[in-house]
Amino acid sequence: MDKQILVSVDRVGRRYGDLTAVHEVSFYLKRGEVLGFLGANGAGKSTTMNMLCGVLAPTHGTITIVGHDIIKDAIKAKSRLGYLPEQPPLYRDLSVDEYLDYCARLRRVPAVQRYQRIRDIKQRCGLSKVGRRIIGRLSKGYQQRVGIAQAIVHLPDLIVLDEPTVGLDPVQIREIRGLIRELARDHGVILSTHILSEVQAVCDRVQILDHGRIVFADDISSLSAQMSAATLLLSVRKEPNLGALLAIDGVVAVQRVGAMCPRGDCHFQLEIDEKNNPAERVAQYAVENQLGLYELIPQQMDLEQVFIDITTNERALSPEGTRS
Amino acid sequence: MIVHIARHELRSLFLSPLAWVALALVQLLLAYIFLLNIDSFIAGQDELALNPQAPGATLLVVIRMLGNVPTLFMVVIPLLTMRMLCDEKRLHTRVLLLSSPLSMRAIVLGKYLAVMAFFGFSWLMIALMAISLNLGTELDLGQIAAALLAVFLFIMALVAIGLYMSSLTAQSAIAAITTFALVLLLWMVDSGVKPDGGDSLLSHISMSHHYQTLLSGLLALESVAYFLLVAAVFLLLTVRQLHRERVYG
Repeated sequence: MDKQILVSVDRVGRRYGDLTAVHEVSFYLKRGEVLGFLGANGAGKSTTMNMLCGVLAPTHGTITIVGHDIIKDAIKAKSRLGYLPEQPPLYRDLSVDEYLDYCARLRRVPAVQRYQRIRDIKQRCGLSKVGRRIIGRLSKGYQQRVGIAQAIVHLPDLIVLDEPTVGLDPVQIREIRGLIRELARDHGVILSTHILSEVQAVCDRVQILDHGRIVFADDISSLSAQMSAATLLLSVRKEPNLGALLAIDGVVAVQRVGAMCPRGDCHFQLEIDEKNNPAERVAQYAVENQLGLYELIPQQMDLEQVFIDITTNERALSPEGTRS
Repeated sequence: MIVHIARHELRSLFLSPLAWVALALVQLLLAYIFLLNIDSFIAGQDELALNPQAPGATLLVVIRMLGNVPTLFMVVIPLLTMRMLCDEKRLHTRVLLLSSPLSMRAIVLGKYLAVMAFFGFSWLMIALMAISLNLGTELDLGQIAAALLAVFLFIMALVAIGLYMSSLTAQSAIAAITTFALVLLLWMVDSGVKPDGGDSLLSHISMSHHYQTLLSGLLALESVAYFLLVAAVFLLLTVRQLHRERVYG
């Protein structure tokens, strides 16, 4: 069976006075998916999340949550979503139990289920032991978990998390990521972050937002493909003939790394044609000429590089002023 | 939904020491005024007995005390309404309400009900104090009822204004001071216009005019409507402000 579409966003934009924070953005989310929203600070992520959850009204475009328009049919739409904004909306002088009880009431969890539900959610978020503690006195990590608990207490179809791992330590980050993956089994999750590895760790699909536009939207696997090697690092003991290296089929450019063979180790960066990978031929050449080959490494572009590539390319392609 | 919000807000109010202190001080000051009035009433007993037209305990003790209530509430109510909406903005908890399946109307009414319940309690204490005099003497309960209604209507209007001011800013002090200024302006807008107490356009919009009318035991429909209208208008403005924030914020 085809998976149900939970969210569809159709050409949504948002202006603050003269500033356009989000241009026409369109996307969708199916049940069971984790959609990652990547972007630098100020790219329009939080504005998009806020519009998605009805906190801000879009200047134009429509947002539909499980078939309900977020503006016209706000109450029905909002009862299907849970939202953890960038700043967790916590009442700091309430205890965790009191706070979750209030949230459950606001989200219309039936009275007969409330107690049991809060207990389940606390267990899921690792809050069982701090139920009676005052939220303001909890550590940042626990507060963040209370924030997540608040977003899922009514078991919404859609969970929107805006930078859920900010300010957490590595162990907590791993726990929260695990929780997100678990939640994605029967809900849909939209996750915004500026940490690229987070997207790789938990998301099925990714969208990169830059200056209010979606500049990349695809499966996480094709993002990985974008990162695949475009250069080889070659390390040899003896100085090779640069002209001969360049002449190898598939090598586009050769660049020396570091000084000229100090103490008999030379490093070269070979830019290569991805469709015609010359690694094998380079190795053969090095062996035939007895260069003393000891390293030949396909260099993975790191995510940061891909991200910068995509955003700068996109900026070059669509100069300012191509507003539709 | 409204009830859930009101319950939560009322609880938060009682969690803050400010609310308890305010409640206690209002009660203390009014009780002191009440005692002073009784004292001077008893001291003037002999003179009053000579004059068959002399005002009784109702007027000299109870109504005089209730005449002082607006001054007190004008200072205390803004201090308690100032946080109602602007703290939600400052502490980012606004998002919780806005992303929950609630209408803006429910949010505003819930908060309004909470503050009304809080001051309703204070009002009840004042009413009990006034009526307690009935144990010792005969009171004009009709006039006292009208006067207590005036107090309640005044609270209703004042809380609505306070809520609106709180929705306009993220700084609670600004909300308090603007509420106080606006209510003071509405209160004395007609002062000195017609010293003989005659009718003028300004006295129609003056809070003190309508308050005094009700206090004198005259259950004037215009005055009742005035306070209800002020409350309704400012509640609607508050709802509108929340909508505006969503569109322009």
